[in-house]
Amino acid sequence: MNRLFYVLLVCCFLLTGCVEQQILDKVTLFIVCGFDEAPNDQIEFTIAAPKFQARKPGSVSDQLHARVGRTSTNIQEIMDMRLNRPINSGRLSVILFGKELAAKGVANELDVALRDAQASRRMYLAVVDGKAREMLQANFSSDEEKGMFLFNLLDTNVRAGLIPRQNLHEFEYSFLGKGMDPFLPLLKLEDGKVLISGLALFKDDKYVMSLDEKQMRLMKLLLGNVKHGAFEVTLDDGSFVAVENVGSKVNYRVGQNTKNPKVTISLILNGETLDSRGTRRPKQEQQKIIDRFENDLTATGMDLIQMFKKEGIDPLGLGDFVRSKTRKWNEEEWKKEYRTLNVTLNVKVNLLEMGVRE
Amino acid sequence: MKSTEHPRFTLSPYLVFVLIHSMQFGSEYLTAANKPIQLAGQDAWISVILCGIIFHIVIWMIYRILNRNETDLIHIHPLFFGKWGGGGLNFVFIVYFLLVASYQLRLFIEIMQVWLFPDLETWPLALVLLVLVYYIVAGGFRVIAGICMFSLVRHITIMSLFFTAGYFHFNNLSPILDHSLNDIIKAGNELTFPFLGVEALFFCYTFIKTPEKSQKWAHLANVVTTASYLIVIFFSLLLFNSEQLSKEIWPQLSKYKFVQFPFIERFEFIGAASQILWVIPILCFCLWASSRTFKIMFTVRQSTVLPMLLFLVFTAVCLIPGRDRNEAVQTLLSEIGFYMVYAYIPFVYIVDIIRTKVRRTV
Repeated sequence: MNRLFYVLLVCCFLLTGCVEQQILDKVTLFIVCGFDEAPNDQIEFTIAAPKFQARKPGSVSDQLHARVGRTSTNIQEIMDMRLNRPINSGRLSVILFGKELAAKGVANELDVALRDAQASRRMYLAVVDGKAREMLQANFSSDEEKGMFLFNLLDTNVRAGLIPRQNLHEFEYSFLGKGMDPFLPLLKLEDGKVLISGLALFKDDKYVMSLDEKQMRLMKLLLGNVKHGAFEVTLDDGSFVAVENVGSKVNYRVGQNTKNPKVTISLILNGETLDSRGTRRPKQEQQKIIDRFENDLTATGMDLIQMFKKEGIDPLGLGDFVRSKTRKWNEEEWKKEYRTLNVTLNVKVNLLEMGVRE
Repeated sequence: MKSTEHPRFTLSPYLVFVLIHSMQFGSEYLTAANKPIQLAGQDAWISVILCGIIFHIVIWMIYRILNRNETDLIHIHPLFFGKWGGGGLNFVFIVYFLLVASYQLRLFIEIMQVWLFPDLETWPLALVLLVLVYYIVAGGFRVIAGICMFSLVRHITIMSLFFTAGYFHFNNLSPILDHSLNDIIKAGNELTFPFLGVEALFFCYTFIKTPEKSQKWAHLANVVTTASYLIVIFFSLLLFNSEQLSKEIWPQLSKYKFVQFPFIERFEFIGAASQILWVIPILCFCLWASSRTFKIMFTVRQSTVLPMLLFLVFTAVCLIPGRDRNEAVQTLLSEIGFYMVYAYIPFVYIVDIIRTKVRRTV
């Protein structure tokens, strides 16, 4: 019995290598992939597979593979037939959606990423103004791998406080959750270079409209406390002042009257004057800048909220917030109420510092 | 009272804490958050506390029964219900423990198949793990307690929650008490299965050096288990909304998808593989308890019964094909557990009281 036991034990150790191996050098790890619409309810799936050149460390180029098919898994299999190294999705960090596909809904494509046991929930998603394949074809990053370039582009801008964070997990969270709608950064190809042109707003999983860069920054302020980002304001005499945000706080409140909920958003922005276009600003003029600034932000913010209400989308998650403050919240009723919801936005700006000069 | 076993085989009372906690906090914690949150939403934590209190009462009952009779359940059964009735009940417990072992092992293998190796067959891994279980169980009860102690390392995985902290939605916790008592009790009912494991006390009682002193450790184990499940529920609530949870099979493994290290791209491989620490103690104890019951019932050597039982578990594991079947086994087990906790243990308790009363009057 004992001898048999030891034989079995030795076998176990020796047999551990018998499962399927995936050696890093023998698989194609793609970092970015794109989904586009194709005729007959098909999708066009594009991957940018990094290609490392021998004897040239550091130089990476991309090889683009695009196929049309019905499911991305099947397309990957077909792609495998043309590749010397099979595809593995373990390193996927950015998924791009073409605008047309996004307008039809991205739930099916997201399900693939969410179901995959190897996919990170922190990967970034983005909508491309145009076709995702065309963007990936463009030669927008000369010294960096395209996937890494796009990942860093989104990642640094999220960290620097320009675009609101939205990754796979958060997109699913607001897509499935009641009383909120997701949004994604909108990428655009301009003169062969990629840029973040704004924010794509979704109703459930369907793209409906986009915000420009100024509205997007305000949206970021309304979504949570931010510590970065600069804002520009025009004064009466036509000169401009730029203010760096050194810490903004946003606070949501629901009015006590539960029959007609009233949402009050108060935004406190602590700023530092950075750029005043040469004109000397005496201290008493500061109040003017503040007033102007507050009015400007309030107007943009209210426009934004009116627009959301008109479209019936809720990227700020007001519904979810009201749910957390009211008992027996009902999604159907809320959707009716939302269009006539009373929302007020109070903005308070404090200018704390003005750089190292008076 | 002193233990009836040879002192060489007995445990210090505090090890009961390790044993009971390992038995309770099994790999079913992975799915424990789903159904209660579907039913009771943000109030699911009340159900956890409710369930914890009920299990304190159950532990108290178990100790009353055992202390009064000064022996384990295997001997109490024939005493209470006669040779055949008691033997039948003992046999039911053997089947129950084997079923628990099969379920735990199949769940672990399923996780391996889904998260790590999609093309892995069931039987090789089952064989390897059962050989390991044989090695541990053959070492005796103290070795099993040692394995339980070692498995406490698993609590390190709580660190992975730091990576998810940026995604917490504290709105999800309010409004408190938005669900009816009925929903909360229903959610508590779903939580009975994850809390199961206290029945181990019935079988290891004679192996504790001074059994009366071990009661507080058993209660402490239940407190720690309750706290663990509270953490599981709270962080599931903060991280996911209930619509997401209804689509996740193992939300506690999905949280590893947030972990990012420069040197490990996919941390969930480690997270999924670490489930072995949840499974092995339960496997070992279940096989030890069932083989011991067998030994006492039929007066055979434990070491001859054990391979047979291992073979039974092996066959059962290979016969459970996939997700649906595994879930069916889980439903069956949670039903058995439900009746054991809420019907069988109180029943034995009452029989025990009546017996002592009758004896005193006679």
